[in-house]
Amino acid sequence: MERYDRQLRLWGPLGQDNLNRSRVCVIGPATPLLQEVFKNLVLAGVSSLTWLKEKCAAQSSSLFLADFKKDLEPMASNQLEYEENDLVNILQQSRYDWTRFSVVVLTCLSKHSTLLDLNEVKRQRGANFPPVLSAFVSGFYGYMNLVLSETHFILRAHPESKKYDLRLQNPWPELVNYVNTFDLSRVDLATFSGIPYIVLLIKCVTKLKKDGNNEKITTDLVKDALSQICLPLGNNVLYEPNYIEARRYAYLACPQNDSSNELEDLLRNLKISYCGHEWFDIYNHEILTLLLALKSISEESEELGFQPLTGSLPDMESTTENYIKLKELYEVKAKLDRFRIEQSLTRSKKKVSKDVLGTFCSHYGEIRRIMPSKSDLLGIFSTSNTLLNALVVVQFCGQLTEIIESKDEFTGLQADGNYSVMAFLGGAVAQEAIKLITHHYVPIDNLFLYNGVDNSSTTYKI
Amino acid sequence: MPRETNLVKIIGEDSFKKLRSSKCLLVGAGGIGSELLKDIILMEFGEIHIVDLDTIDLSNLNRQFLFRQKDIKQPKSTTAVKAVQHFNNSKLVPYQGNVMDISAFPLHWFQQFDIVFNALDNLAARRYVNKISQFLSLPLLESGTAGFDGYMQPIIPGKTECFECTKKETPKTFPVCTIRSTPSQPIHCIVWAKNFLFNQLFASEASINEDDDKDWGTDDSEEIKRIKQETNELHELQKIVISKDVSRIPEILRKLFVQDINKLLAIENLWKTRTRPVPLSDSQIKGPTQAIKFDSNSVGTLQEQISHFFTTTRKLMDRYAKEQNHIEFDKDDADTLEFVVTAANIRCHIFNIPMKSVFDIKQIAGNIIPAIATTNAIIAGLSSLISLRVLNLLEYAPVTKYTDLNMAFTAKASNLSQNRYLSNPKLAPPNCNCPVCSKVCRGVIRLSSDCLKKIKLSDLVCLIREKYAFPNDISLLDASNQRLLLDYDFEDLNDRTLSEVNLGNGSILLFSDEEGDTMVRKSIELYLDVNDELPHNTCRLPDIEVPLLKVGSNLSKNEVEEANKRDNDIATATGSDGVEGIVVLDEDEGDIIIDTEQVNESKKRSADIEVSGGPSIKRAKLVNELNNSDVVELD
Repeated sequence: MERYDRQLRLWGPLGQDNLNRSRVCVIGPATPLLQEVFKNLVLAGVSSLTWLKEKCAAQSSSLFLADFKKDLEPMASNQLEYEENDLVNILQQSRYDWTRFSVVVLTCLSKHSTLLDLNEVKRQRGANFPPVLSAFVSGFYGYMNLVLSETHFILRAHPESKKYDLRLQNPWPELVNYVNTFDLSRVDLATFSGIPYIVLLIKCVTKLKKDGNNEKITTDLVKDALSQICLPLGNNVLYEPNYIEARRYAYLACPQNDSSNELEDLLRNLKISYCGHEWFDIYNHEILTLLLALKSISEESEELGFQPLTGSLPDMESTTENYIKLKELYEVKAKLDRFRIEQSLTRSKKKVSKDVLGTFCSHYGEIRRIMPSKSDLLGIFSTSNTLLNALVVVQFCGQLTEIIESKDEFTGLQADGNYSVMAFLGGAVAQEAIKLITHHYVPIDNLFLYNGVDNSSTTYKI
Repeated sequence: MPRETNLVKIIGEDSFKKLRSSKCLLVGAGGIGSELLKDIILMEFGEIHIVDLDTIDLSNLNRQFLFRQKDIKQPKSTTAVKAVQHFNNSKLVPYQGNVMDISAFPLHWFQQFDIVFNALDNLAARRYVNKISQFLSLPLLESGTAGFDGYMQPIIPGKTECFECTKKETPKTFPVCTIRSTPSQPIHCIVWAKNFLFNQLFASEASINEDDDKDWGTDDSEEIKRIKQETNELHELQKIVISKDVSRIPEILRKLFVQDINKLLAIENLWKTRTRPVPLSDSQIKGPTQAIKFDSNSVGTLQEQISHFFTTTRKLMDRYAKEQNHIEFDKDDADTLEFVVTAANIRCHIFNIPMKSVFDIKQIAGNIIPAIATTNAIIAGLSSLISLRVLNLLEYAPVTKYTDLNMAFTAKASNLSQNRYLSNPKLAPPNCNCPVCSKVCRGVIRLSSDCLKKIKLSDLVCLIREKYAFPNDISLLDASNQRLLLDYDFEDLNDRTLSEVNLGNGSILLFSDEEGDTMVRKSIELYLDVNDELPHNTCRLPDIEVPLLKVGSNLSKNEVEEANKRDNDIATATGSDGVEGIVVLDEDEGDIIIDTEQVNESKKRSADIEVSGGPSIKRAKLVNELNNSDVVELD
């Protein structure tokens, strides 16, 4: 694992394990884009590559890989499984096993008929087809399109700002009991300064509810309540770091519009029937199984919207003793929640790997979902985006039956492949493949366009 | 189809010829560097020079695709050049060395290049190359990555913002007392174990002088006294290491985790608002009962930490003599890492702080920044692409104004779906307050080495005064180390030659107008480029316009010193560990420094300047003391 030390810090051992076990199929002629994607995937740890070759009249000269198999092997840490096949042959095999691939990547496909055939193969398999990333570069421009056949779940989205799950609005009984052991009317300033802001804020919420505040709790209300319960200790309380923290984090005690709502919606709309059909990707299936377990726990216990507590606590002003006690409460509750999920799984005779369960529980708020794409591989032909239209006209030069209007407003579009742009897009394509394989980070949804003249880019949904 | 016809199609016949005759410098052959080298070779640059100091490490192989397992410990620059031969069509010149090494890479060496690609991993070198690029008006393409984040910024001297025009984050520092007396977070214990304890025990000359003017973070004299005493005592512990007597390891443990903790406990003031640490008990201090493998992902028990402390200390004591009484902390050296991990964790336990796994501590202690091939490929692609624009080789996309070009950031790849994969702000013009590129005029004095011994300071001043029409009253400062060389009431050095006042290749002089009441000449920074290839008696001043400014808009000496002080702080940080902190970087960056080390360094610097004569010594000293305090007023 030493070799992957620097990237393990992005997606953890589980993500790396997924990469090491993944098989990727790359389809297209021998272009710089293809070799860049190959190189990037092998470096990341993908250990099985299949190249379905599209024969191409003009062989690109800008290749640093002379012999793909021979030159890629030394970049891999383990034995590299490498296979080459003629795309036309494969497309004729109705029983070709596409399900062994984690991702299929199309790079600079040049024949329109091949794309049609491939799209038909995909259509016949229904949801049982790997995610397809298709990309093309010409001159300074390029596109990348993700086509998902089934719902893709992200185990950890790694949002920019970490949100702690503190349950300030709905503390569980043990936490309430602990909060009640602090009687603010009987403490001196020194003792007060050692009380974590979590305790103060829960006191505020309790007070607001007790005072019959049925309306929505707002930050202002919480701050008012905070002054009311703390000021009897004297004005100096205003300068205590824990008091200042409590004011700063008052918003955490209020209902928030963010991912947690998104997740509640997700759970609400989740149908048990989802689990009936066969799932292509095992992680998608496992995450779905876990979400369904949450749903059934909520239904059985009539506990609205049961969600596992992550159990992690941010740093805060506090005496070490108080902090440790609080941390323990959160950790115990997190363990119990996890245990409830495990029990629910056992009852319904479902299995989920320990690692996935662990990550699911400890980073619950980071689950995301991308719905299957509405468009198929041919979606790139039916948009009104002028750059995309111009690119597909160049890509399938003279083969398109429908006339796509392409205005010649893009400088240097026809100027053949520019190596730098290929290198750029090769990095981006491999990065999206890695996100799909690891189930870490949110991939594009679902079209990415790049303009190298000014480095501008757009992402939108076809 | 030969590669060049491909390219001719893209950029045209004329531009292709220009490209084939252009020379570029690639600084760094690591993550971004490997990718860039491949890209610019395939773009057919005529000549590529590659400078890298490093050797190859196993953890490089997940992205530096030119290197193999068998290349580990080989120099990056030469290995990279060998690895690209089969697709190379350019003249390649590798150098294993530090780009900041002025004897290997003097200023005039840089002058041969048309463009510089920075693919660096540290702040000090980035600043250095930026400065060189400013002196030579050499276009620079700056880049860096950290995990999914990356940036690429073209710098065209005089036309666009330079690297220093925006403030860079400086390394995080902690007050001494937090590290030595009252840690409250795992990081405090890790810094203690790595930057303090490890060096005290295993570095060759553990420094024992601690100055009074450092940032202690406390006024408690009792505590400061204790800290100093503790440092002296630890020096005694090094004798145990030197003795190689492993049966004395329990003494080390008792000293660190019992006696020192008890002394801390005796200072009542410290524990009024804090939880008291609990020293180890005698029964806990015992060697390993059996060999245990350390699992890098879990924390383990205190007893496991202690017995592992025994094992690694024994190994390090054994190595100490073999390695010329000096072992340096290296995150990839398992013994040194495990020593720091166990020592930090035992200390954490004592102070009621949660312990951390080897994996986590390695990240913190080794300043490990995540790195992947994809982001490097993306950034290198962007950087090589923009080089065609900077060199203005694209006929159909000509550059009329450099501020029309764009820089690029990959903004958190996880946000790709939110349309923020790349942000591409246009290049800004130079920041008029930037001390590096805008506050002074800049030029290079080219001179033969014999001139250093012939030209007197007063001669040089006359030359400069005449050439740029400065008035009588001027000041001359050695900007490389903030030394006042000459002004209206300090003329003791007038008759000394340049070499007698320690000026030489790479010295940077700041020449300022001290006379003007309403209008003054803008200050100039002059780089001394000593070149033996020049004929004897050559001393060529640069042809630059030095404008007159309204008083007040000129850069004051203090400001220069401020900026230089910043520079030196960072450089010092580099010196102490070989790693440093900033913005977004490719490799081992983001070091954590305890405030004191910077002060020690600047003391050393002031010591080597000797000036004769009574009051002037004081004066020179005063300037030097600017290192230590920002408030000294010069005039």
